[in-house]
Amino acid sequence: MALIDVYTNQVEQTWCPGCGHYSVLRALKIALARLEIQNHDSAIVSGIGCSGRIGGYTKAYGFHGIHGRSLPIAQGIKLANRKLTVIAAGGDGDGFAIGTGHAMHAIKRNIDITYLLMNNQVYGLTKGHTSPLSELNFVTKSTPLGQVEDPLKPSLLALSAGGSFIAQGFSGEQEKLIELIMKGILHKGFSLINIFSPCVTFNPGKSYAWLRENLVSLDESRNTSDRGDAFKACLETDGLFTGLLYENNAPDYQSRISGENKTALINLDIKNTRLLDGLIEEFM
Amino acid sequence: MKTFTMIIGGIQGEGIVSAGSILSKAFSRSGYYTYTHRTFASRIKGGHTRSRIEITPFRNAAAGTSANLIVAFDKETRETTFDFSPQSCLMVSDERLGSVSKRPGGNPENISLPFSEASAKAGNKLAKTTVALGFLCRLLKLNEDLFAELLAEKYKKKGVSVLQANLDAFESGLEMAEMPCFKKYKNFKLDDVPSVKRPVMTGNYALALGALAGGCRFISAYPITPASEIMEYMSAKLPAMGGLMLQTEDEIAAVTMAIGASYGGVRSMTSTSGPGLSLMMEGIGLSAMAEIPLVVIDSQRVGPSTGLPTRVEQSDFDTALYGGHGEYPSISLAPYSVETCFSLSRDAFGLADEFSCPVFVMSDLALGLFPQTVDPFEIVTKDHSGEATSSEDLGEDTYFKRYSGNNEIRPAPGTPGGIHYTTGLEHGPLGAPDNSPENRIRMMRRRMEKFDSLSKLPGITVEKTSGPLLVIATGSAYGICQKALKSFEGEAVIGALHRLKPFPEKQFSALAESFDSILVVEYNYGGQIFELLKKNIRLDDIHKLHSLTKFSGEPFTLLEIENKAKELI
Repeated sequence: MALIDVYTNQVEQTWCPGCGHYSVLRALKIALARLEIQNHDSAIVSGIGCSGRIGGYTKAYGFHGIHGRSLPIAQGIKLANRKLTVIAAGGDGDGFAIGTGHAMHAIKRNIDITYLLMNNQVYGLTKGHTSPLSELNFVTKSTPLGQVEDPLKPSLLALSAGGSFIAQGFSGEQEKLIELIMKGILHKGFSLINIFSPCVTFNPGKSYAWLRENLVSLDESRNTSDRGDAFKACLETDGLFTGLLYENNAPDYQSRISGENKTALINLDIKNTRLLDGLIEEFM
Repeated sequence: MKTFTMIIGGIQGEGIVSAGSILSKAFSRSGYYTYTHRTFASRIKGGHTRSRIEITPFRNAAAGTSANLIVAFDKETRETTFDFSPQSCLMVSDERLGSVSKRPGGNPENISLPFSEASAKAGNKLAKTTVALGFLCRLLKLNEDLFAELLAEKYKKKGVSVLQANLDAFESGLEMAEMPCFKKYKNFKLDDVPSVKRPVMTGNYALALGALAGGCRFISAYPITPASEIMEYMSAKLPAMGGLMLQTEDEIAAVTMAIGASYGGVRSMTSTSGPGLSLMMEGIGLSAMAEIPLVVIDSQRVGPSTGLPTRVEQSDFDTALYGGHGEYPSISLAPYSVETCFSLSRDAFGLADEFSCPVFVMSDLALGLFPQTVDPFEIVTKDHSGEATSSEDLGEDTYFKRYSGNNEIRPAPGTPGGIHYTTGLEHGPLGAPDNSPENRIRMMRRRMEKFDSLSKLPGITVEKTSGPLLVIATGSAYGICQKALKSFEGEAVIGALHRLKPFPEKQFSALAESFDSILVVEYNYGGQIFELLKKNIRLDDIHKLHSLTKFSGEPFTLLEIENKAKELI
């Protein structure tokens, strides 16, 4: 079986021809297959938007949740069973408009999941509305006179929130994206991968060609554990870069709670009533 | 004396609540039952607070109407308890407060005692309520050793000097009760009861215990009055059981994280109050649509918006029954005592699993927060049916038909052969989105029509099935009705409505037919349970339905219920 087929299912894909998300999907499937993670041991959780389809196109446990809430759902799944490989995926609206609060706290909480931000800087599924990551002056149906707000910078926010793994990829750089996703999955903690994934229909200004021309590849020899340098790289490139920005070895959430609890919550014996002995007496 | 009621009040943060708690424990360890009504402000320090403790030889789940003894550490205690204080009542005030203002009809006797001064002398200014405990102990002829034991339990961890100061403070209080002016109160002695130790519990703790007994091993929640104790207790107890409580960034994350964990194969819940419940509605809809078990405990307070966070109301029933967009299946349970807080919370997890849907447990502030002595209930766990993880009958290498026919098997991620899709979109047997009309009809029926067996089970607990008057109540309204109707000698029968959805139609119809009148007692403006019953009653019986509501934030008085019941008999 070809590597790409391991995670491929027969579901008809309905993204527009040329959509950057096809490449994100391909990179994710290959990353999972290369890491030899069993299909049934992976859960792909998404929100609502074009990106939300990704779980349906992957042969794994797919959870298409509600708009902006992929991260709490994904964290819940990982907390239930830490042996799983949990991938959360969502668009820039899902993650940095309606779901910003969850994104910041997921980064801060550092549960060992991987978050693919499928960033096309526009709302595609609603047929062309501005996103919090859209550029100044961007003209859309909801900003006919041009966007007057400056965009958020996800990697800067993630650095500020104490992110333990922050990287940026590009649909047009497949091999690099696959490697970043693999690194993200292997990282023991929350990994954010902000992926520039062009929307050829509603944001032609941020085309493959434009991104190829404007994205800077981070120097691979730089020290990725230097947070100050990571901030600097973000600022110098105005966020337009690809590569691993920052990584540290801070223990993940589940390692911090009472050390390492070896028994996954899902495997606890809930019929063991002896655990409840003496609880009533404490109220006497 | 059979029943004895005392009020201890003062400024919040000065040990009033602790003193009340020590008192109720002391009585509960000596064979008496207590019920404590707490009044408090939505602030940390400052503001008036008081505990009104009723001591009885029998089980009591509601406050009465008068007081025998008032201990005042602030002026507000004296002024706001006039309604409770007949002339025979004794009031003792901290000397610092000065004289009492006159009220029409005369004051109860007020005696000033140097609580603060004695506490300072004992070396701890914070021990003034402990002085009062000493005074009460001697005045009511209680067991001093018992108090010493309780003080040690409370203050030992704060160091030897703090404990000693409290013991000294207690000692000085004992002496105060020897003053000649208290001689005429020698009738302040409780009737003897067999010495039995009983727990003092609140609904919130019973709900949390019930969840543990029901197999819940994960709770994600956001702090809110009056539900926080549930998450607090579980965060203290779950780690030793291998489980986890996680405090989320908001209620939306709380509910969706619980859904994730439940989908992941763990019995999971969240707990909240009205404002949080409003935020959770979209997640609750997802749980119903995707058929993922979820338990939501709602401790109701006065709404809408921030409302009155520290006062009681039962106004979220409509949200549980009809809230959220679209039509979806759910179960609504309503505990009506501390004991049923435990049993219904426990059973909620089995029901959520069996029916793969959200289950609401609708408690309220008074039931959740007011401590009462209960008979020690056995923590029995029910047989856990319909567990989430199973790899039976799951074919290899194909998508699992999770939403097909009567299939209630939910393979959790990690289960070989169980791969399927889960979505809030309308979906077909494999979970894949499907917008065909035939599929929509099939799936709506699958979700909406799964409660046949459950709706046939009783949802109202009632002792007699016919008579002149049936009074229906739930939550904390039940306890006060039960107490008020004791004097009616069976003329008025009390019914506890403990399952609102699926509504016990048949049982209710039969009751409606055999009673002459039905009175619904509830804490809200619109009569939410009344309207629910009205929807479910035969047209011939509709004239029998009557409503008594209260929405001031205060509990019903016995008189309010007695008067209404008299009107209808």
